[in-house]
Amino acid sequence: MATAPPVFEEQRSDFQFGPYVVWSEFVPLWSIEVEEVGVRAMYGRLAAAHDAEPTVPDLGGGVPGDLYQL
Amino acid sequence: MADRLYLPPVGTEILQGDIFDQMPSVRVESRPLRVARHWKQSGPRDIWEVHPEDGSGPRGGFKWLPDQGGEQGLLVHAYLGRAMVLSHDCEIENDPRTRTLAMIRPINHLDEASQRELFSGGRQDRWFAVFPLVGQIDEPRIERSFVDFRRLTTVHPDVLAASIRVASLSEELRSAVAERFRLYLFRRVDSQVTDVR
Repeated sequence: MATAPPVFEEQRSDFQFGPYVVWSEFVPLWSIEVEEVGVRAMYGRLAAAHDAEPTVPDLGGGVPGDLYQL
Repeated sequence: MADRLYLPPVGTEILQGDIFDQMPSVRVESRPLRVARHWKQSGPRDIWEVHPEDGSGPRGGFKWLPDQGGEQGLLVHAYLGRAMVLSHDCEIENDPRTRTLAMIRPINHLDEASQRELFSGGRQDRWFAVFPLVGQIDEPRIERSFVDFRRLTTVHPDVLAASIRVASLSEELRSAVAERFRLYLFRRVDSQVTDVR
């Protein structure tokens, strides 16, 4: 079932996005270890689903982009 | 380490999932569009004219159509930050014109409850639009962040060639991103959703 989308910070009235993304956030090591259990399992599920899909048949000729070539 | 999710870029070949620094993410926020045309150089400064699309236009008119070459200078909202290449490897190899990037955003752009839920690996039916990137302390160092599939920008391949490539993805992570992006675009709101919980 569809659910309400997550609320992003930028959707708050007080949110300000600076001109550059700052990469200085401190992330405790323990939180990385804990989160990796769930996220890495999710990575594995998604990757397995992706790799199990049938490959796109070779239709011969053409390259990606031809459909929208102007 | 064999289980690293992010790998140092090797060579010059760009792959789907590669992460770049200081990449543009642009978005058109409103209309009328505003077109900038270079007017003249005055000392060290370039002076531009700005023409709203609903105005009289520049001398010779606007060049909106593809066979006119399009307008080169549209004023749009833009950020510079990290981005992930979403173009398929086959497209990267064969298409000399376009690469598609998704914005990578710092984790503090999500509230704390959303961060916990996203990085728990559960309730993924809520999170098709974003893909969590766990942090990596080993080189290449990646901060905890997320890919925002809603913020796509296209660039010429030369833009990537002139930019800083931070990392490539492991095979597993590349497949996971690809699957999530596919689901984001083509998900059906039915039992298929449960496949990735």
